[in-house]
Amino acid sequence: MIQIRDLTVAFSGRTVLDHLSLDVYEGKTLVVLGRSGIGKSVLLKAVLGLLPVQAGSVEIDGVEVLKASVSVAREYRGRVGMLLQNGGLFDSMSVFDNIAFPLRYHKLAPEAEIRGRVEHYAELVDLKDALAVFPQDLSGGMRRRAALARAIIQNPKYLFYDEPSTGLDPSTSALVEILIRRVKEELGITTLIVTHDVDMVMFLGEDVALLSEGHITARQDLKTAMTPGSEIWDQFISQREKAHREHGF
Amino acid sequence: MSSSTVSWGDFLDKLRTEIYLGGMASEWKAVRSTLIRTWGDFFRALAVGPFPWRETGRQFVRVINDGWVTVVAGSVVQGIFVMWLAGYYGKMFGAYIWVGSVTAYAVFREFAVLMTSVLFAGRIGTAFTVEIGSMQMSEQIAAMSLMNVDPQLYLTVPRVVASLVALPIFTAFSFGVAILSSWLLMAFFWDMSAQIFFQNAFMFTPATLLTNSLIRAFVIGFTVALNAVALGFHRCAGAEDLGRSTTKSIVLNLFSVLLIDLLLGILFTTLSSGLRG
Repeated sequence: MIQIRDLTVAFSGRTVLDHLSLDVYEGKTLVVLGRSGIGKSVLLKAVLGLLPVQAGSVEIDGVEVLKASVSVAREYRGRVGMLLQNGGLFDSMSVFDNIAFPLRYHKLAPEAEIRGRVEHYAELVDLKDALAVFPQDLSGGMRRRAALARAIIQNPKYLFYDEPSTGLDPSTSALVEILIRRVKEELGITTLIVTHDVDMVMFLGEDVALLSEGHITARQDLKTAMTPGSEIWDQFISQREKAHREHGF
Repeated sequence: MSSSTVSWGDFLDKLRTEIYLGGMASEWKAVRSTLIRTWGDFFRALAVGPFPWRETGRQFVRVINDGWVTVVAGSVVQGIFVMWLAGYYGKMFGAYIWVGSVTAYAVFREFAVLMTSVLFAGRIGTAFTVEIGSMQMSEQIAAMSLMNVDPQLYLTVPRVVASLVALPIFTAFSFGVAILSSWLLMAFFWDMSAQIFFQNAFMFTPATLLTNSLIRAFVIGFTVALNAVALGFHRCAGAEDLGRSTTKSIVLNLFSVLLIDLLLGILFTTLSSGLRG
């Protein structure tokens, strides 16, 4: 389980996350919903130590990682994989080498085993035919899939997704959603997704939390959240219709 | 009249603005803290290890491959330039037989290391800044951290170590190319034989001159690469930031090259004259 308590992150005097608290339960898929620029990516990056945190605590499997020693924090954060918004693939390496990178760098397996594992995960994300290709020659959807294979090859216990459908057309977006679900079901990975895509919430979410004004303002199960009149419905999902109405459309 | 007067303080402000590309105190403080942090991180990563041998080897091959053509071209021009000046005035004063000596001394003492370092800062240094800056923009560095890979150990250490080995090699290479190209021109214009040229060329060039230049190249290679990488790690949110970081990198490195060359040149000259008593 991941427990986030009173997390506060600020940049250049602007508070992005303000005493945010959130629990990520094992085996579940939690979707954090929020407007663009509200701090969803900041939340994931702060939990994983990619951004400095002003206050608060983050416990991964009972260990407080923000105040832990570098080696302990590294060990526990190592249990979490993440699919970055842009994929973060190394453009100097082929897809194969990208997926194999963490295993090779940390010398986690002999080369023959690495080959087998890369091929297995590439098949899982439907990318087996593109292993020799370089990232610049991949479409947006293929890049996400390659990055996903790299994120899961170290068998993480938790997997974070940062806006996995951003910039993708509806059919590619749907394929990515299917993959996320397949990965979750086949590997049993606890999943945390941040997005503003309501369709994705409906397909993947088990629990839904709403991030607004720097903290979680509501958390509900999917069915409740998608019911008109619920907190999340009123505060986020109905906002599009409301804006249309306010502008006379 | 008074409006055109520039005070010493104005000059220093202008110089600082040029180096940091922005007169805002917050900007140059941010650049300075990035430089200090990256220099510190480099030594920390080196101490913690493990040393990235494979990546360092890869970067070394890459630096040599990327830089040698520029160094050869620069060295040819440098040899011709020095020889032409020495030959022109040597002939004027009837001392052109010493052109080889003058050329070799000037190249070994100053021109090879200075020209090669300037070309290195332009060709390799800026490439490091752009590469790491764009890796930052496309979240490749964040991805590295997520995989428990220390970006300083994987990106900074190999580039810096490769550069501090490569620049002395380039400088030594530049010695040879510059001397050879100046002799070829001497032979072509003034029919100077290889025997006379090379006999005179090394008459006043002691071995210490060569080693001093190579030590300067070593220090410059280290500084240029570390500054360039540091500015790649500087805040880089978009194309404009990347452009500014790259310009900062080349301006800062050109100043660094001139300053290190000057200070070490003075130090070595003082030491050698001190040793001679």
